[in-house]
Amino acid sequence: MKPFLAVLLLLLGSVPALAQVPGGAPAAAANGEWKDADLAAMGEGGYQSTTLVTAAYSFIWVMVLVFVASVWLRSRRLHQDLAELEARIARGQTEG
Amino acid sequence: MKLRTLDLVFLAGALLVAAAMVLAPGWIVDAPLPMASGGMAMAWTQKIFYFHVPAAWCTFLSVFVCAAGSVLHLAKRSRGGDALAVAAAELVVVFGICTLVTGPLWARKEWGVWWVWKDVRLVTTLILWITFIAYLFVRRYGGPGAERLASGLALFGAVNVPIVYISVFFWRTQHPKATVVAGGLDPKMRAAFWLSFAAFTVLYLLLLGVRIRLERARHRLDELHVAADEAGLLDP
Repeated sequence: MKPFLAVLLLLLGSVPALAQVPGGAPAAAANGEWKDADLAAMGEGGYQSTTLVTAAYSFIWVMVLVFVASVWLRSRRLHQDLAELEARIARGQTEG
Repeated sequence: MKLRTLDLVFLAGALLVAAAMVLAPGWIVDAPLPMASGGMAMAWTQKIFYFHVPAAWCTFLSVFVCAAGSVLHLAKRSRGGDALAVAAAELVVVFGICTLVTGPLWARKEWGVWWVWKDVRLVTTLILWITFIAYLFVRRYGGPGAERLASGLALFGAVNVPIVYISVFFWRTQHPKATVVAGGLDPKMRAAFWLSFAAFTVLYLLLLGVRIRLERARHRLDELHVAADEAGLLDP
């Protein structure tokens, strides 16, 4: 299972980087496809929409990666426990 | 390295999620912004909708999966059901926190506040999340029989889901009423939303599968330990 967790981790980790749309938001604005209604708020010291959207998107990926890492660590510990149990059984058989 | 069918399914799922996540941001950026009540286009934070709603969907789905596993465990003492329940409960916590964090990030721009304590949708969602935190605590520190007590908590959580969903229709809430199920989305928004929704669902199923495999491996290790001990094969 370990190699696949590693592949999954790698794929998921690379997604935010691959998913970047170079100049996506300004290009869309220039085409007039959407109106940024919060320009005034930005000028008033409000939170920038892009910051909030980036924070939300990043948070989800961080949580997913933390979960995958936690499963991977627990899986590694489980394999260590299994190896230890096998060694104990082998010793028990030798002594028995 | 020998690939098993299940491993290939996992790998294919991971590739699908990655592909969808590469495509989705472009579609999400292209999707138009809906109009707010004042007649102006909503702020760009509306894009949070494309991962806030799928995260909430995965939370609800996971609650029901956990409840189904709990029922199996309570009714038949099924260890598979127990593995399913604990795996799903962890994912309720993961996707639940995603929902609870992305919502306020959106709300700060649209409502001017991070959180509204009088909003039934927000508070019931928080209660749902805390219920599953409690579930995991009970599982971890509850001692013998904790699985059954935790199963009861999972069922309580499942009862809460419909309340979370219908709360916006029964109480005057800051949170908007659902528009996705009613089909109120612009076609471009709809395409971006459903792509994101599918990606989240596949991601959820992948994570659930990985977590179930870990839990089943843990069960096997426990059984092996007990069997070896009973057979007197363990060194003192």
